[in-house]
Amino acid sequence: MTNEEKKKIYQQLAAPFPEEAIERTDGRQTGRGYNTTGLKAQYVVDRLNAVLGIGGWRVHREVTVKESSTSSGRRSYEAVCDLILELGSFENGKFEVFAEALSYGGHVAMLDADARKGSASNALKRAAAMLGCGAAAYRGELDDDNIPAEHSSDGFTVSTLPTQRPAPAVVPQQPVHQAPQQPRPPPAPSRNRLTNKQLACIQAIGRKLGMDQAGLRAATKQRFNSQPEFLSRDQASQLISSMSAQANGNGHDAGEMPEPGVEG
Amino acid sequence: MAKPKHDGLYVSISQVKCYLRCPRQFELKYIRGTPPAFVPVPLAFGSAFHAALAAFYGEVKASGAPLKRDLVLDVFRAEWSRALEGPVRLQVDEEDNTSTDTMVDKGVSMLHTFAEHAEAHLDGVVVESVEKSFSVAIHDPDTGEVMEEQLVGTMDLVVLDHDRRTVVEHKSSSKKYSADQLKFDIQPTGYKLAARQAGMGEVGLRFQICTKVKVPQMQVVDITRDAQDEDDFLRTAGGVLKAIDAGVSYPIRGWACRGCQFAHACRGASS
Repeated sequence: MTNEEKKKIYQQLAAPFPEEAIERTDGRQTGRGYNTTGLKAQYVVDRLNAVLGIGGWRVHREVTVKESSTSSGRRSYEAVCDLILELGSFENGKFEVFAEALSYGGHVAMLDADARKGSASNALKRAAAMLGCGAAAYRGELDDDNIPAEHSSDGFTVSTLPTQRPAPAVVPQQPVHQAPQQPRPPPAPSRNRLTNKQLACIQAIGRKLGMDQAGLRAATKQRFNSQPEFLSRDQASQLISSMSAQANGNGHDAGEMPEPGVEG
Repeated sequence: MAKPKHDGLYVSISQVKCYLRCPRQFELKYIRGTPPAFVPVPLAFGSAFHAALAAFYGEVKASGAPLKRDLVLDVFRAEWSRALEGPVRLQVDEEDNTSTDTMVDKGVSMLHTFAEHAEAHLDGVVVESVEKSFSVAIHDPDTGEVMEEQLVGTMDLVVLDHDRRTVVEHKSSSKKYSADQLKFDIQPTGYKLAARQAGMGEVGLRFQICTKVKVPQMQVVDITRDAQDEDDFLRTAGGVLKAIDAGVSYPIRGWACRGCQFAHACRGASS
């Protein structure tokens, strides 16, 4: 294959992706505190197939999975995938390589299979980016760090493992068209229900105040017309504040559970 | 209010089904904690029937032999009496052609049918668990985000059937399950997902349904659920949780209102 032919392939691989190929996350929802943008893996696969044809590329991958647990004690799986992406063609049953890229990707999930899948997808996207396909994500024009995290209220975060930026691609980089700026879709609403920590806190202070389950339920219903398990985060915060004040001897009857700041 | 048996936030398959059936009923039952006006007879009957089946398989697990037929019937009668004498009255659906008096006879008839079937199919079957509770993590299938809520529930029966671990769900039903019911019921899907999470591996799924007709019949069906079904289940459960978060609640008016335990609190009032 000539250099000219390689350049042509590179330009086709590096062409901008359509808007629907891009997935975005909202930092408030993921708990990261910043928004991210990345490419969907299937679109990268589709691009490789479209440019190189069926059998025009292949991957070798090795996935290692480590079992770990979250700070809240739940089991999780941490997978790392080492991947080699080869471009070439099958000649007489043998794959003749003309370019390759090495990369790795990581992913943490609650299921072994999800962790493997996520790490393999991340590794493929990075390797493809080294050959121009989706490289915009790694130049900051897009962002591949798009795996949402569990709400950080219990201190546990599901995230991609620490990764490094890809090494220079095998093929010399060519100017790439930048995808036009598109308006961002509105972020999905984040969860509003109280957290496990808030619920445990309410139950603990309730016990301290001498309230049994029924008493706590009755008091919560009286104040919020809701069972404790279905309070919103704001309501739970209010309740914890007022119950804490009560438990610390600020003088309210437990059943009243006054609003914070109300003199008793 | 159904009293939580679990620590922390949770969602059960019954809760998801309740919300899908009628968000307003979910709100009254679970969020507001409204006391039910009555216990529907089919609910109490189902509980007593389940207790009898649990006793049957509990004995198989303990001794390898099924519980004697008259003892199975005794368990059913005792549970039914407990329901009749419970703090909340039983109520028959006006259009249902039953009464509390006839339910014992119906239950006995159904239990004979069940026991004949079950006793004939115990070869190669090892009972592993009866009424097995679970509490497992669930996540959003698209984002991987782990929910605050644990998925909780109870599997009626777990058996090794010729070395294949199978979760069996018992039902008493007015008629046989349709193909769509067997295909789309989310309960076994939730069990399959929970079984894997609980370290039970890839399990088979089976419905054992006993019909509440004049001559009861057993409908025993092995069903399958794939990864797509599990994704659907997680999307449904996650969607319900998000809808509850957003305060989405509206009544579904229809035939089910007639037998609703919370109808007295539904119209107009917010609690």
